[in-house]
Amino acid sequence: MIKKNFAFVLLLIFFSSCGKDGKDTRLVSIGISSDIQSASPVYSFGVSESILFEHTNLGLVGHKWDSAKGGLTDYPLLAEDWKWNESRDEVVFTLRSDIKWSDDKAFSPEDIVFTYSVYSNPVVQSSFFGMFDKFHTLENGQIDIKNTFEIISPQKIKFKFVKNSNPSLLETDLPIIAKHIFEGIPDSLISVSDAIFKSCGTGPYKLKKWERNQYILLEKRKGHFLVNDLSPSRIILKVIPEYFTRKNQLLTGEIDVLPEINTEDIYEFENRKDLNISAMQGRYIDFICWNNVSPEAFLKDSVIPNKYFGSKDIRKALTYGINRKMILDEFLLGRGSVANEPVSPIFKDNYSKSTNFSYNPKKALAILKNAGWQDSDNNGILDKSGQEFSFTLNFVTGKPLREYTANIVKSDLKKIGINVNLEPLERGVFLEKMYSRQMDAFISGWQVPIPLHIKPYWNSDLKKYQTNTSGFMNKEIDQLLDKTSQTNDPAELKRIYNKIQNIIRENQPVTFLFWIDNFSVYSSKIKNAEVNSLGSVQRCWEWEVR
Amino acid sequence: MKKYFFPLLRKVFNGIITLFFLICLIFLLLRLAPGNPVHKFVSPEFSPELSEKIYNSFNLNAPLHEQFLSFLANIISLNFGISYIYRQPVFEVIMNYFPFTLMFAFIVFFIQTAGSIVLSLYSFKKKNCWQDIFFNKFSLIIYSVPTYVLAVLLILFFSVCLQIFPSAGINSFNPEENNYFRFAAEKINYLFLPVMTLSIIGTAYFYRYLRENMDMTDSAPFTLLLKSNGLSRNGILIKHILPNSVFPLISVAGIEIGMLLSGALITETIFALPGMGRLTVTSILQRDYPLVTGCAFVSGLCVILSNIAADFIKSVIDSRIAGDLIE
Repeated sequence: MIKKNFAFVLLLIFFSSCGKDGKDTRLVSIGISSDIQSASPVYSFGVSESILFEHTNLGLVGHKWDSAKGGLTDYPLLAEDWKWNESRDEVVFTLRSDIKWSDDKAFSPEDIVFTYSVYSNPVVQSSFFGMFDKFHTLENGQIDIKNTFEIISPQKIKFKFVKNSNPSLLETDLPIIAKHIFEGIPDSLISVSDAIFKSCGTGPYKLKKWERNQYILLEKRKGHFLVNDLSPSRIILKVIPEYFTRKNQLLTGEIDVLPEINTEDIYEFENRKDLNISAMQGRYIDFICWNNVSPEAFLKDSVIPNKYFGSKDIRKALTYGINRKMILDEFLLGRGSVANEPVSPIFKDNYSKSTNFSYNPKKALAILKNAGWQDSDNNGILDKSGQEFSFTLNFVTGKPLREYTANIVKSDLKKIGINVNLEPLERGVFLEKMYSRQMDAFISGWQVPIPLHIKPYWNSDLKKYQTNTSGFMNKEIDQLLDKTSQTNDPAELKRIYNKIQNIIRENQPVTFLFWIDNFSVYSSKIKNAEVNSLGSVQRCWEWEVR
Repeated sequence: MKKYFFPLLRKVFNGIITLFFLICLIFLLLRLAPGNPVHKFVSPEFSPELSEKIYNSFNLNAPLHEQFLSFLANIISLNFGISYIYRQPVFEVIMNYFPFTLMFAFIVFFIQTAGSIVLSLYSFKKKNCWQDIFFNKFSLIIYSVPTYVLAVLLILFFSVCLQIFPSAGINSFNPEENNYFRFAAEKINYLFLPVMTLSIIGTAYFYRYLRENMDMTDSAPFTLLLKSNGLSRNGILIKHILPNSVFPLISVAGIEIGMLLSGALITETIFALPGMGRLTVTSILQRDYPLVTGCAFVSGLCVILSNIAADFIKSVIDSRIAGDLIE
């Protein structure tokens, strides 16, 4: 009897402890796939860090995505007002007077100057290095502080940009770090100092606790100008690497937000009344990259056309020969759109749609025959001058969409007499081969940056721009890309981007596959939350938890 | 005690040599393997100059033999360097993860050892009954189930359907607000599924080993002698058959605990546990060379130490093998 009673008491205590976390009804828990690597924005390399620092470390201004116009709109954060000079190369910010660091120290314009100095310092190796080409810089790339900043008063600071560099507020939105945390640390030691693990910010939330590879707990700063009573009192970023586990945690109510769900799970979530699905046309694109240059020659610092993909006609034929719509419909259940250009449809003004290059194997075959590729030995594979049209298509392992696409590509191209060998590669190996342009063809993807900036992907300087992975070179494109950073006139930008897209379509350096829609799921207790082109978790202080 | 000293010392010395060769091999393999730790930093605006600077700051531009000599000099003082991804000394990073793995491994090991002994005894007593046949067949099925399948099934049943246990993590977000009892209960609550995942399969593995040994011991001449002398069946089982059957299991257990201490990758990933397995794989995928070496060192050390411990226990149980234990 005593034994039974003891067991009963133990069980009672045990199960009474098994309740859900706390009684905080305004707590919002978000499932993320990877942990942050530092608590300071100096080293903000991933999505998790972006989410954290948006809430802990404000910039002078913020940007919202305006779906209607397909672009960004500015809103004030640390600066309550700003004024450009007539030539638009200087801007004076008036800072809010009610800002304090999360450790209660006073915020000052000195912090802003210090932040930009640290971010642009090559020795520090910050993730923001290389983003200051519109600022006055020293030889090593660091911002020339004297010629760039002028502290007019404790509430006013002036930014002075290079003449005719066409700066915008996007240059001034970086998260500000606290000078008093980093002061005294040699530049070369910042990356390994304790300071990067100390969170100190001016945002509406402060980092309360960080359990490595477990969770990041943010707490609302009462009285902060961005929060109200309905804002989440605490935000938990729960690190759950496995998608299956994140999904189950959402289904059991252990998390409230799951960004970027798999398309096949939509139906499962649609039937749940306690969950809302938010959908957004994506800016993420998958593509097949045809190496325009010879891998062997590139290794020897020489650029000669690839024996298969050096000709734009061949690349066009390959695009005609692949049934992209079928992959989209079968694997992504039609949730996306076939892509033919490097500019996402979300950029409404600058996107030019084209329906060319629909699946047409006959046309593909005709182009190949015109180019001299014929099946002279009747083995089912085209050949030219004794060389069979046979190449290796690489892709990263562990990505089901890419694996499926690769198999369809192999099967489609086989129909027009091209032999494709599939070779999945581990991510690290894949990246090394991709950046050194040592693959013939591969399936990859990228997210078009906001604001629209595609120069690094298409500029002909192959040494400087590793992200031009196809090795495509076109002087006209280079000139047009330079012009995009020299104007803010929407009509002019539209004209330039239309031309760029036409040239790229005409040359088909890659075969664009599809723009993939983005779906995120939110608990119905959260109002005002939705996925947009900037992401699924943003400005959480505007969420209302009821 | 003296008779154990020199064999043990010899074993420790051999362990140090093995460990040294292991990390030297890891060092060379990492440098020879494709991949570049700097690629994680590459973004559209990232200049090749900065990329090279970071590469140089990792000391990866130096000739291999120079890197190796510098590595050896550091290893002697157990300095594995700074982790590229965590930006902290490797030892500190590992110390963030190892305590959890230590606790997790010993809980799992204890459950699977105790469970397998209890089940084997029960099954042996019911020899050739349906219970014995059932446990033999069922243990084979469980042993054949991959860890991730069992983990997913347990999550679906206990977490999604019954909603009794959380499906991931090791604690709630406010552990500091708990008292000790709640803290312990919470840990049990969070660790129940991952511990079950590993220990169910481990129990089946140990059970099969132990049960087979019990049959072999039961048919040994000395057992027949004991039976003919009229000793009770339970007495023979507990005092003679079980100790003789457990003996070969100790070596297997030594390897098993070593493997558990190296980390249980799949379980740790599915249940989002902060253990050595997940840390090792993350460091490999990110090409964090110093951390990979550090993790390999700790894993190697655990396997070697657990083997020494197993041999030592065996020699204590059976003093006849003390001298050559460890050969």
